[in-house]
Formats: sequence, structure tokens, C-alpha cells
Amino acid sequence: MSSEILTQLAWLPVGEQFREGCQALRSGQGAFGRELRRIATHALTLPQLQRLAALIDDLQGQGRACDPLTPVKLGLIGDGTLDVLARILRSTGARHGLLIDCVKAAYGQAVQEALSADSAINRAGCQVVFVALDYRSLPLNEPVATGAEAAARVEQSLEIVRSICQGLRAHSSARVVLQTLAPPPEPLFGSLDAMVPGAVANMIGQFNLALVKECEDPAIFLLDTARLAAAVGLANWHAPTQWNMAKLPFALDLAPLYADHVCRLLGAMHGKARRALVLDLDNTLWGGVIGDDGMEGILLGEGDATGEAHLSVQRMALALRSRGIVLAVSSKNNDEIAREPFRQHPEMLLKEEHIAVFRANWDDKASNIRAIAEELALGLDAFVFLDDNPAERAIVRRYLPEVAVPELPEDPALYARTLASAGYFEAVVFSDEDRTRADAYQANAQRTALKQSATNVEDFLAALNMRAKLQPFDAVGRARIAQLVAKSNQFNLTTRRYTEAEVRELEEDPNTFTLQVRLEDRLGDNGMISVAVCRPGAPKTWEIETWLMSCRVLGRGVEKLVLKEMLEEARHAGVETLVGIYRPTERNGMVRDHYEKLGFTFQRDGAEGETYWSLSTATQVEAPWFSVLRPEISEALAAI
Amino acid sequence: MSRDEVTSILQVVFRDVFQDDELIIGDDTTAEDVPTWDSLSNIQMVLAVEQAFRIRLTAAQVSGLENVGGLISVVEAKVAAKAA
Repeated sequence: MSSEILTQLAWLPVGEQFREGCQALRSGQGAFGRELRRIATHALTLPQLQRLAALIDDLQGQGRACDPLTPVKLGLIGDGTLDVLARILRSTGARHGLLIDCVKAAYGQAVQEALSADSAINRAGCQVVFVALDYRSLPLNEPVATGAEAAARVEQSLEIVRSICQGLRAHSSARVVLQTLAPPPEPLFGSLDAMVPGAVANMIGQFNLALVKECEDPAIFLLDTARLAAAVGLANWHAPTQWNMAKLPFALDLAPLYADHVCRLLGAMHGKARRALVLDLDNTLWGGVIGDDGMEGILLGEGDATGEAHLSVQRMALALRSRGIVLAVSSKNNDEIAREPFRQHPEMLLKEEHIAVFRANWDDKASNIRAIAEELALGLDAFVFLDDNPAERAIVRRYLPEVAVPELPEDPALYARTLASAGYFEAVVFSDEDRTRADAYQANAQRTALKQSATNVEDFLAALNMRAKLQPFDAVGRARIAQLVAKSNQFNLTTRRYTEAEVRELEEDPNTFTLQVRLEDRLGDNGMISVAVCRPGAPKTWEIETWLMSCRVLGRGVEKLVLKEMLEEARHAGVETLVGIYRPTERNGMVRDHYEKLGFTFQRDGAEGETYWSLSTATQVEAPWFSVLRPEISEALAAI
Repeated sequence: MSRDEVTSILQVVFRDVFQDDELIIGDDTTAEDVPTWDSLSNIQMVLAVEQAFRIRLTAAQVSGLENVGGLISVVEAKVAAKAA
């Protein structure tokens, strides 16, 4: 049954060498946090978790530091027997980067301890208090006859919660964690329970809704225990034998899972939740191996069970991205081949633009993940790595122990569930910034990658590795030139529109200087991004009739490259002065000072509000961060 | 399953649950002999025994036991009943 994914904490590798690991840690020296976290990041049995808690006591007794674990003093108040939970919160916390010191209230004394200033809980200086109430100790624990009575019972139960919170607030500075109540599985009527206000299940439902509202307070946090219990099955959560024997409010074999949920919430409250997901490709995002099976051979969607399974992984990744988790790819593949499905496969949900860093090569994945971390400027402990291959998982666990690597079952249909069940990305708040974070990281990653060794703008531009193709107008470029001329409005000095016929005429006019500029850089091919036309005006003068540029390449110095080309051609043609014209429109305000910035001198105002500027063609202009290709010339040379 | 077989499996379970790798159980062993055996670890032990032998023990059956010998007998009988 796939509730085992939860109850066995199936995303954690089985605890091998547990005894040896503990022994080595006990007899070691120095800070114990890193190794402790590694041991705790396994699916440990209840006795193993208890042994680990005892080991932590010993290590602290030895006076050793717990770095890099964050110490948290956690108060635990509630109903029923919580001793086992309290104990294993200590060991489970290590898995989530925390060293939890759990202070327990006396049995059944939740309210008293909260309200009393000198209770153990309030004197202990807890940073967080977990209030683990159980429905059996609240006024809503038995069915009542009327809706009015039901509402009263629910309100009384909420009042108990509120007075606990008020008491804790008055006597301590602790943040509070409240849990929703797991209803009992036994029906009173059956389905009608949901419609009869006085049924216990109904009252618990009302209570839980109101509790969620209480958690809108910034100092109060929600643990949705009701949902966890539902996920494993209420009939599994509530064990009558254990309640009767020892007032255990939940079945003991669920204690490790319950503790993990508490700890992941505490982790999120302390900034330990993960923020990025690195995805393998073959047999993870699609069935099969793209390099061998090709686009037609990989299994993705299309009514095929395996294809649908892998699609569900993509769906989950996209959902995570929409809430601010950054996606990256690390695949052992040829880069072009790996990108093909993203670009071409009709069933792919993930596109290249969803992936902030895409690394497909033949290097080991640990190195790749390290590089991804650097590019995203995130610590390794922010990462989760999803890979179907146990060998790859083992390598990354070995060399990058800070990265979370979930175990995956054999059946890909359960990959998405296993990843989600691990709760790596637990959050306690969702902001507008989160919504747009993935995009922000994408843009940043590209900039950071290029700025790695840049110390100033020029270095940055040089690192862009820009390659410009400069040509006069020709038949091949005609359509694109016409399009740019027709559609450019912002970086357009004169907004002179040409018909395609006029563009063709310009191709053949020997007295006109025409220029089309294409630009490639490290990030890709930008295509044609600038167009210029100069015509003879007064003697030994060229007028710049058209100068436009795509806003995509602002701030790169393309203007200087174009000006340099104009000046060289002008000198060559015996021209002494370049005259620039700026015709202001509603849309081109950004280029009002364009000529001034390039060193032109203001000449005069025109009749229609335009301005005229001039520059001597003796002026030298440098654009050193472009490498320039003149295809016309290289073709001519090739023809020789 | 013979009584000796049940005893040796029970020993493994006891050592694990009561966190004592040196523990040796006999028919006369009671909670008083094991410092870590309290009401809570008792429940853990019962659950672990249930899991190890794939049997069910009721609260009445457990609370009626005087010593480990009694537990061995109950487990022996339950295992035999399953096989029958």
C-alpha cells in the first residue's frame, strides 16, 4: 500500500551501518553536527531514533559543539502521552539542521503550564512551543444534540487554545505551533456526520477551520496534523489499544513520521527549507534515454502509463516552480540532444525557460551540482537532487552530503508522490516575491555566470563574447530589415519608415551607406538588432537618415560599434562630417541624448522640433568587446 | 516454532527496544530487572513483538503476564495457532 511511502519515510535511505556510525561519532572529536545530520538522514526505526537521541545527550555531555546544527529550545505541551515524540524530536531534528532540546510539560497540564508564569515551560526560555492538543481532552469530544450546543463546544475548545496562546505570549517570547485535530475514523451516523453539527467529526472540522484563522497571527504557526493523519489513514493514526494502554494519542509506529513533520515545520521556521530542485533527465523527466531512444522513442504522456508517470514528475516540478522553487537540470548527455525534448517534444510540460541552469555534459553530477549552486548563488544545503539512478544518488550523497537526495521507488508513478512526501520545500509563508522568485533566479543566474570574473562593465561586456556581423543591405536581410524599420519605435532616431520596395532600392543605391547588424553572444543568437542608413547631404557630409536598434541589446555598446563602422566607411568615401538627426516622437524619448552621448556637437533646432548634430569623421571610436565579421568580404575572399 | 527459537527472536527484540545490547532474558526476567523497561517502553516492546512474529496481542493478554516466560508461552501459542 503506498501509505508506506509515508509510514516508512521511503524518501530516506535505509539506515546502514547505524551502529558503526554512532560509535565513530561518539569516539570522535570536534563539532558533531555534520556527521549527526548524515546519520539522521536515514529511515531509522523508533529504537534507532531513541538511541540517536541518547547519543546526542552524550555528545553534548562531552562538551562538543553542535555546529552546523541550529539549537532550538522547544516546549512541548498537550494531551496524552507525548514522551516518545519528545524524545525522537531530538534525533529527527538533526535531519532538518536543528539540535532540538525538548522541554515537556507535566502530563495533561497544557493550559496550566501555559498560563503560569513560573511553569517549567515558561521558565525554560523556549523559542518555540508546540501545542499538541487532542480532541479527547476538549469539550468537543462527545456528540451533542443541537447546532447551538455544537457551536458552543467548538467555541469553548477554541477558547482553550486562545488562552494557551495568550498565556505563552504573556510569559515567554516563544513562537507557537498549533496543530489541527485528527478526527476519529468511527462514524456516528455515517455520511450524515458531515451534515449534523453535533457529530464529533463535524465539530472537529469546524474547530480546524477556525484554528487555521488563529494561525494568521505572525507568531503562530500551523501544523496540519489532521491532514497528515488523513494521508496515512485515520484508522492507522488512531490506535485504540495504545490509547487504552497508555493514552497514546497516535499509533507509535507513526511517531517517526509525525516527528519528521514537526521538524520540517521547525526547520522552515528557521530558514532550513530547501529552495532549488536539480532534475535528472533520462528515466526521471521522461521514460527511456534520449541519446539512445531519440525523440520518437522516449516515453512521455500520450496515454502510456510510464509516459504519464514521468509527466506527473514534470507537473510537480512546474507546480514547485510556480511557488518559487528554482529548477535546474543535471544530465549525462550531449547538450543539444538533452535540450531537444524541451524544444520539440509536444508532450513536454517543462520548457527551457523553466530551467534556471541547464547542465548536460559528461562530467560527474556532484561537480555539476556544485557549479549549479555557484551559478545560482545558493548554498548546497538549499538543493534537492532527483535522479532515478541509485548509483548517481549514492555519488551525490557521498560527495555533497548537504544536498537532499530522496530515495525513489521502482515505479515511476510514485516518484512525484515520494518527492512531495519528503517535505523538502516546507514553507511558513508565501509572498509575491516567492511567486516571481524562479524568474528572478533565472535572470540572475545568467548574469552571475557572466560576471564571474568581471570587475567592471567592460570586463562584463568582454565576457559576453559578442560577435557582430556587419553587412550592407542585401536580399537575404531585406524582410527582417523591413520589419525592424516598420516596428522599431523606442530606439529609433528618426522613425523613418520604408516600404519593402524602398528597402530594395537602398540595396542597389551605391551612394547610400546601409548597414544591418546581427549579434551573437554567449547567451545565444540575437539575430538582426540594428539598422542604419546614411545619405550624402551637403558636400563632404553624410546625413544619418535612419538609426535604430533593438531594445534587447541596450547597454552593450552596439551604438559605438555602429558609429565606428559609419565613420570608417565615411572616411573611406572622403566624407568629413556626419550629421545626426533626432526626430522626437511619443515613444523615442530614450534617444534624445543619443548623439550627445556619442560625442556629437549640437548644431541647430529644425522646423518641426527635430535636432541636428554633427561629428567630424576624423573621430576615432573604439568598440573593443565586439569581434566583427564582415560576411561580404569573407565571401569575396572565398571566391578568389 | 520451538520455544528456544521464540526466545532468541524475543531477545533480539528486547535488546533493540530496551536499548541494551548485553541484555539476556530468561523465563524469570521481569520489568524490575531491566532499568529501561517502563510502561512506555513496554508498549513499544509489545508492538515490536507483534511485528516480529506477525501476531496480535490484546491489552488483557499483555497485562496478565508475570514475567518474560509468560510472554514466551503466549507468543509460542499464537504462532502455533497461526500455522494451524
